Amino acid sequence: MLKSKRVVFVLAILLLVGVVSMGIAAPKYPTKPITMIVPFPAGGGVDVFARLLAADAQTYLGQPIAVINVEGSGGATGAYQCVRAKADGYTLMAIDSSLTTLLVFQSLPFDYDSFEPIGMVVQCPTWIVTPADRPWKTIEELIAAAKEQPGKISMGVAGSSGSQFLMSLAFEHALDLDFNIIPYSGGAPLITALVGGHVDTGVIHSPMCLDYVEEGTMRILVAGDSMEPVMYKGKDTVPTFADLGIPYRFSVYRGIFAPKGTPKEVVEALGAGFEKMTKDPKFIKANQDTGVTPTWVGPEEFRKILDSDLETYQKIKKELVK
Amino acid sequence: MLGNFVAAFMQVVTPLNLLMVAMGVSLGLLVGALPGLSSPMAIAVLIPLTYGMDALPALIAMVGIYLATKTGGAFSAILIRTPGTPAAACTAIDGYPLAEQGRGGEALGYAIMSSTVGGFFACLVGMVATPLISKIAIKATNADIAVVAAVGLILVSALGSKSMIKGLIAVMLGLLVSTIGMDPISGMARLTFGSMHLLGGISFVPAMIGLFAFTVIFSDMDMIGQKNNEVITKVKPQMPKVREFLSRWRAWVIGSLYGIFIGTVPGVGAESSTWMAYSTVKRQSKHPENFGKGELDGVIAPEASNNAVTGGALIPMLTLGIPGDASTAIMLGALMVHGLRPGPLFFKNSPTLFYGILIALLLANVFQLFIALGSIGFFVKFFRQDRSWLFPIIMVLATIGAYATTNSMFSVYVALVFGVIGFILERFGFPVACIVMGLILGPVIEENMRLALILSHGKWSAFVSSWFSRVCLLIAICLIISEIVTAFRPLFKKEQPCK
Repeated sequence: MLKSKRVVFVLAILLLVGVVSMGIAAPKYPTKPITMIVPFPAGGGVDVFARLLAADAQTYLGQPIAVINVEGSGGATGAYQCVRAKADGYTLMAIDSSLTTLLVFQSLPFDYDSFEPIGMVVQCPTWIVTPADRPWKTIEELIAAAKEQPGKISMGVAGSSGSQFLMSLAFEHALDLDFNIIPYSGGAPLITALVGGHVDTGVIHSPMCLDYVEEGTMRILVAGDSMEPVMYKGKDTVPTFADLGIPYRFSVYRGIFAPKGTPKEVVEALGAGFEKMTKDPKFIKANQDTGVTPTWVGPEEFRKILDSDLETYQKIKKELVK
Repeated sequence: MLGNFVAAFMQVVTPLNLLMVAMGVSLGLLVGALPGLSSPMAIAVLIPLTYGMDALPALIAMVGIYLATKTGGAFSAILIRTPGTPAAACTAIDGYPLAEQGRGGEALGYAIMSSTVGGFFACLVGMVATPLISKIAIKATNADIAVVAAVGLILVSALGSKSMIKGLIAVMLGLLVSTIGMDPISGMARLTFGSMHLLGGISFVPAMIGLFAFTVIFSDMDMIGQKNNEVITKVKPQMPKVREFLSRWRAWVIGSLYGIFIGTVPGVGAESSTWMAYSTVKRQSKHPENFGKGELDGVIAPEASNNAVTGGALIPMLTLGIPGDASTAIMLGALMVHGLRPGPLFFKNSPTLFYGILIALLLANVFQLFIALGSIGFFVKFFRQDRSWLFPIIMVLATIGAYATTNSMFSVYVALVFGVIGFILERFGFPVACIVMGLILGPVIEENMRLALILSHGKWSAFVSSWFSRVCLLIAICLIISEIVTAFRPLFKKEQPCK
C-alpha cells in the first residue's frame, strides 16, 4: 500500500512540475517566421509597402516576415485566404483600402468583421491632377471650364469600381458638373495617359505623380483629404475637398490585418512591434522615399475609419452610380 | 553625360557585379528553358534575397534573369517543341522542324547569336536614344496599343498553324477565356458562375503552363519508352559561321527593330513583336514556302525580337516608371523597395544607376552568348533523357510553377484543365500557341479599345487617326494579303494547263 501511494505521489509531482514548466517555459509569440499575404501582384504599391515592413520585421517583431503574393479578383483572393487562415498570429495580411470598394461593388464571402485589424501604417489622400499643357491652372478654373463644356472634359480614374471612381462622382455631384469619366484599369495606365496628354484630368493617389508635378509635366489641382503625410514641397498650396465644401473625404489607407479570432496578446504584441517600427528613422526614410510619411493608427481607430468609409461609399454608390 | 557613363561603367565592372550578371544569366537560361518556370517568378523570389545588397547588384541580377529567360525559352522550343516562355512560341514553329531534320545544333546556335545581337542592338539604341524613344512611346494612345496588339493577334492566327481558320478559332477561344472575370471598365463579373476564384479571371501563366507544358506531355506520352531521341542525339552545338550569319542580316535587323519599338509600348511585348517580325521576314524572304518547315530565318527573327524587347521595355520602366510587362513591373517594385523612384526624375537623380542598368544589360548579352553556348551541351543532355524521366520532372516543375503564381491550388487546377483542353484541340489540328496569344493579348486589346472609344466619344476613326496605328494596320493588311496570295497561288497555277 505504501508503494502505490508513493507511486501516485511521484506521478502527481511530475504532473505538477510538467504543468508549471509548460506555463513558465511557454515561448512568447512570435516563435517562428510570420507570413504576410499581399493580395496584389509583386511590384505594386501594396507589395512595396509590405516589403518595407518585412525589411525591419526581425528587429521589431523578433521574427522575419515572409511576403507572399496571392493575387486575383482585385484583392479578394488574398483577403479570403487570410480570412480562412489559422488565427494564431502567424498569417497576416497587408491591407489596402481598395478592399472597401471591393466590398461595396462585389458580393464577397467576407467583410471587415472577418478580420482583426492590427493597425494602419500609411495614409495618402487621392487627388485630381491634370497635364501641364491644359488651360486650367487651378481647381476653380477647371470647375469653370467644366461648367462651360458639360460632358466634354475627360476625367480618368484608376479603376472603374474603385474609390477614385466614387471620388469623381462625388466631385461631380457636389459641384453639379459633368465630366467624361474614363475608367482605366489601374494607376499605371492612367499615369501613362496623363503624361502622354491623352486625358484631360485624372483622379489618382500615386505619389509618382508628384515627381511629374515637380518636373512640370503635371499639375495637382485638389486633394480629397489632408495632404499632411505627403512628401511634396508644395503641399500647403493644394486645396482640399474640405476647402471646396465637399462633405466627403477620400484617402487611401494601408495597414495590417489578421484573421478574426487572433488572440488579444498576439494582436497587442504585433501592434506594439509595428508601432515602434513606424518610429524608426530608417523605416520613416524608406517610406518617405515612396512618397508618404508613415503614422501609426491603432486597431480600434483603424476599424472605425474603415467602417465609416464603407458606409460612405455604399451611400455614394446607391445615390450616384447609375 | 559621358562622365556619368564612365562612372557607371566603373561601378558595374566590379567582381561582385560581374558575378551577379553571370548568376542572373545562368538562372535566367535555366528558368527560360524549363517550361513551368517564368521570369517574373524568378525575379520576385529574388527580391527578399537582395535586401542586404545595394540597388545596383540586385538590379543587375534581375536584368540578367530577365534577358536570359527569353533566350532560354528557345532551347526547349527547339528541342522538345515546348516553348519555355511564351516569347519563344514563335521560335518553335521553325525550330522544332529543324531539330527533327537533325539540324537542332544549328538552330540553337543561330537562336543564341540572334538573341545576343537583338539584345545588344536594343541596349545601344537605349543608351543613345532613350529620351527620344520615351517621348515617342508615351504618345502611343490607347487606340494605338489596341491596334498593335490586334495586329499581333491576327498575324498569330495567320502564321501559327497551317490552317488560318483553325488559327482564328483558337485565337477566339483564347479571347473568350480572357473575358472571364471582372470587366476591366465596369467591374462587372463575367462568366464567373458565382465563383470567387473565377472573379479574378483565368491568369495566363497557369493557362500557359497547361497549354504549353502539360499539353505537350499528354500528346507526346506515346513517345515515352521509344528510343525516339534521334531529334536530340544528333544535336551538336554549332556556332554559326559569322559570314553566314551576316548574310541573313535582314532577319535579325527586322527582328531587333520590331522588338525595340514594340517593347517600348507599355503593355505589349514579345508576344506581338515576335510574330510581326516573323511574318515580315517571311514576306520579304526569297523562300517564303520554307517557313514552318525548318527555315533558319524563322528562328533568327523571333529570337532577335524577343531579346530586343528587353532593352525596349526597360526604357519606359526607367524613364517613365511604367512597366512594359510583368517582369519589369516587379523590377519597378524592387527599385522602390531599395528607395529609388523610377520615373521622370530618375535620370536626373540617379544617372549613374540608369546607365549602370543599361550597361549591365549589355554585359548580360555578352555573358549570355558564352554561357548559353557553353551550356548547350548540358541542356541537350537534359532534354535527351528518355521522356519517361523528363516528363515527370517537367510535370513537377510545371505544377510548382502554376502554384507559385498565386499561391493557391486553383492555378494548378487551371493548368491541368488547360492541359487537357490543349491536348484535345491539338489532336484536331488547332494550334495551341494561338490560344495562349488570345489569352494574353485579349485583355490588352479589350481594355485599350474600349478606353479609346470612350475617349473619342464612340468614334471608330480613333483607330486610324495616328500614323503609328496606320502603319501597323498597313503592315498587317499587306502581310495578310501576301499570305492569302501565296495560299491561292498553287490553285491558279493548276488552272493554267487547262487554258
